[in-house]
Amino acid sequence: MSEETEPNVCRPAELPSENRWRRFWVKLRRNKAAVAGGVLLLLYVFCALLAPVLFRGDPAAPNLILALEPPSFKDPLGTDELGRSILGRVIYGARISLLIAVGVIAVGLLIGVPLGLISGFFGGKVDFLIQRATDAMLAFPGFLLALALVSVLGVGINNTVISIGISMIPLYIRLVRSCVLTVREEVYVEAARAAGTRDGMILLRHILPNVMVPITVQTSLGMGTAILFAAGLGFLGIGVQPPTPEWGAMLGSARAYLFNAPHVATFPGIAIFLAVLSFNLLGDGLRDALDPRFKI
Amino acid sequence: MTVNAEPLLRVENLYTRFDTMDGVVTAVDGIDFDVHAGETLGLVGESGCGKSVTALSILRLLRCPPARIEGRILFGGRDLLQLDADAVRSVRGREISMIFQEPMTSLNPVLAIGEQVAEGVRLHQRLSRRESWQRAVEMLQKVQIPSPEIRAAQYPHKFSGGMRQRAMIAMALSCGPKLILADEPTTALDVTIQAQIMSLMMQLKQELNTAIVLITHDLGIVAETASRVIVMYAGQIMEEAPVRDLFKDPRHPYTRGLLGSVPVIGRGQRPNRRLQEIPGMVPSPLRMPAGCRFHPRCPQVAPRCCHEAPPMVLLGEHRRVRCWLETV
Amino acid sequence: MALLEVENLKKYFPVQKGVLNRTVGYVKAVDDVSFSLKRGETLGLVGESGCGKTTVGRCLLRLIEPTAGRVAFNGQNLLELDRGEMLKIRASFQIIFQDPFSSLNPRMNVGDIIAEPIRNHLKISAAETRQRVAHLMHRVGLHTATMNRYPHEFSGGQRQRIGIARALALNPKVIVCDEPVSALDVSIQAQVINLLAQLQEQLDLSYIFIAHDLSVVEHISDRVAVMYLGRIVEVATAEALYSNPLHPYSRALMSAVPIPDPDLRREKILLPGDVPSPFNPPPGCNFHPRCFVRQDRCARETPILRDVGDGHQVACHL
Repeated sequence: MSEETEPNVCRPAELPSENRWRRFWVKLRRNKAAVAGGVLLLLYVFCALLAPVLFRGDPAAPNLILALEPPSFKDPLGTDELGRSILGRVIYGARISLLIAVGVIAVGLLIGVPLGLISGFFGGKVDFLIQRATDAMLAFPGFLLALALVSVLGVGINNTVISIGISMIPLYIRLVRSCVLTVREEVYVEAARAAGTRDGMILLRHILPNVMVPITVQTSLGMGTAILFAAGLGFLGIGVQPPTPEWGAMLGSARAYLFNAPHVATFPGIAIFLAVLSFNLLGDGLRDALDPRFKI
Repeated sequence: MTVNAEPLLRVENLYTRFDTMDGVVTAVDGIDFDVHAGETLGLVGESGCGKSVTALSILRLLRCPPARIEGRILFGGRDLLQLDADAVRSVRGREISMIFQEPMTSLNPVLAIGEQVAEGVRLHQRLSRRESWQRAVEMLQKVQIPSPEIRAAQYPHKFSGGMRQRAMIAMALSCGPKLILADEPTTALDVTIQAQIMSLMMQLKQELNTAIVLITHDLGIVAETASRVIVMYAGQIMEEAPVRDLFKDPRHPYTRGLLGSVPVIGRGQRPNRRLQEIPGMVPSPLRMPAGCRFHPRCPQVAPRCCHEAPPMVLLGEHRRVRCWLETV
Repeated sequence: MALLEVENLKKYFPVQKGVLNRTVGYVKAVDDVSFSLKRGETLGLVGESGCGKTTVGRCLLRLIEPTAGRVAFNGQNLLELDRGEMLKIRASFQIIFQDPFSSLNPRMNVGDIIAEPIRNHLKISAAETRQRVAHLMHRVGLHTATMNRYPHEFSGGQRQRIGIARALALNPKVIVCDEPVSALDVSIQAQVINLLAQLQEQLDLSYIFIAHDLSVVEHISDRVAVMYLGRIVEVATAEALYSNPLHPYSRALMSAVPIPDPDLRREKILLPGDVPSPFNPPPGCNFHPRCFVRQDRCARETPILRDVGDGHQVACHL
């Protein structure tokens, strides 16, 4: 019986090869909210990339003759207090907001993930230090932290990215660390150790890939938060500075005309709302689609 | 066992299917069997053969959808599959109860053990809080938990695995059911604890004249406790026999393979330390082989097995085999 | 000379309490365990959960750092090696894990999993590595065409074969098999046991076979050590132990195993109660509260493992 088990009359096929990605796609596509979020997000990306094609002209150039025009055929969303097309500014605003979101997440990921990995994997004194620093940062509400940082660093797009990015770092550290603590105890990590794998390789090949799912989800949700924070800073006048078309700053300067020209505030508001919504819907959808326990 | 007695439970043409992303999975594929009052029926098979799903289908504990259950499950003159949700609930626990494999997860960690045992009694027998607690303590005593008054007030984490399984048995027996579905009741336990629990179950069964459907993969446990055995493979019944006949004269090649592949303690070592093995593996429920489900692994496979499903051949009372070899 | 010699191995886990993490005591998971393993031999290590058999296995490879003792492999004490030297030794000292589902990284394909030890230890080209992996897969009965697939695409038995291939990758001398078949179905169990036996013959391997299933251990082992609460209570050849168990715990353990033969009804020795907590083990012989032949002295004196002839060792006063 120990002989090769080959020659039977007819043999069944091997186990069906199921494709992880196909499964992920099917699950994501069945989630209507996630699809809506994804489509919306694609629309924003599309606007951001093709802004110069979609809107000819300079969205920052004032034209006082046309100030505070209501929506019309020429300017579908009307004009602001300096006579600039709101449609144009909203479209160009997508560029700024997405850029900020990506920048913020890059800062958060690049600093937060390695620190979280180290903290969770090695434990001990390093872990203690990182965790106390994280505690200190988390003692402030995220937006307040960003606000404080920006007031130290100064206004402008770069500083907005840096301060919001830093305010996100502790979230990533916490998330990654808690995942590492679980994955670290997996038998395959022990198996890698038994195979003589060094710590660095274990972190890179065994632990990091297995904490990618929550990081991905957090990234999507975090982008929504980043846009919201950036808009908040812009609104308060300490974020991206006019005349750069940033949604938050647009809202800020529209405050004075809320009653006689409500469209000036409405459309950037809707743009912010939908952008944040799209990231949140997509993030929730990703979480469900990437969770193997969650069928269909 | 009296020959003509009406069976306690009769399962007829039971199909349980699940709608999944990859298609319809038929976990239980047209099985029928009887359970008589007071007997122990062993339901053996490997993981994925449908033995647990059968038990869950009988008590309608599967979420539908994605599950779809068809067939008839006759118990006390009623078809359990036709009953409404309330009626089924009144059968569960009171007339048919279930013991699960995992004593860790099948007890609620934030409720005292006594509370959990008392709950069932209170629901089904409309006893007061105090009376049902009394009854719970009695039950814990019956399953030989030392100092039951104190133990009843404790939470599951204070109990060892064996003690938890005793508590589960107490819960299952608290309303005096006629039938217990025991799904791998000792698989998670150590051998010496397993021996304690099995002897306790058999003793209580005698005392209360309860029938047991013992679902397990362990042929040793079946040999020691069951009076009749059903062997399942890939959702179907392959063989049914009284316990002695099954072990002395297994008719289905799968049963023979199973019996040959387990090392038996005290039998001494085989030459070369080789066990008889069943080649290949259990087929995926999404791609059941045509013909006989076992044919790709069968040492006695014939050409017709590959495309024609073998019929169930009756060899005597409670003795049947699903194999072409028996049809000649 | 024995290939592997373990002397007085101990692993105490500190138990900490309070805000200051004060150590209030120790769990003696492994307490003074000694045994040896000859070349080409299989030593079975049996016992119930919590008896310390798995910890012993982990301590041998220093996946858990032992508290004290000596693990001599080819005369070299592994516990004195530094990190680098230990990494090298792991080539000849491997382990197969119980759970074929959690012991393989779900994000790595089979080829990479099996190649990992090779890449860690040998400086050979990618093509050569691939060839070796293919050879290993063939050896354990896997189709080499499945090299690029991921663990979830395989069944339990196939996954265990992947684990075995990974353990064989560096031509080890000793493999610790930690419950290698207990998570598998009966028919698959036999396949894996046969594979292990076949590999042992072909590759001159020595196994430490840790399991709770006494029938499987009897089948595969030359000698068997029975553990209870961190200590070895009996060591003997498989034949001697199963035909003539001397320690009352071994006797109870043997009798508790269900036999698939309805005509063979043996009298079972039912032990009262549960295994005590290793945090606060009973004094004297730690089995005495459950023992059916205990005497007064058992509660006071700890019995030591003594030879009763033919290498049959037992730790009991009687």
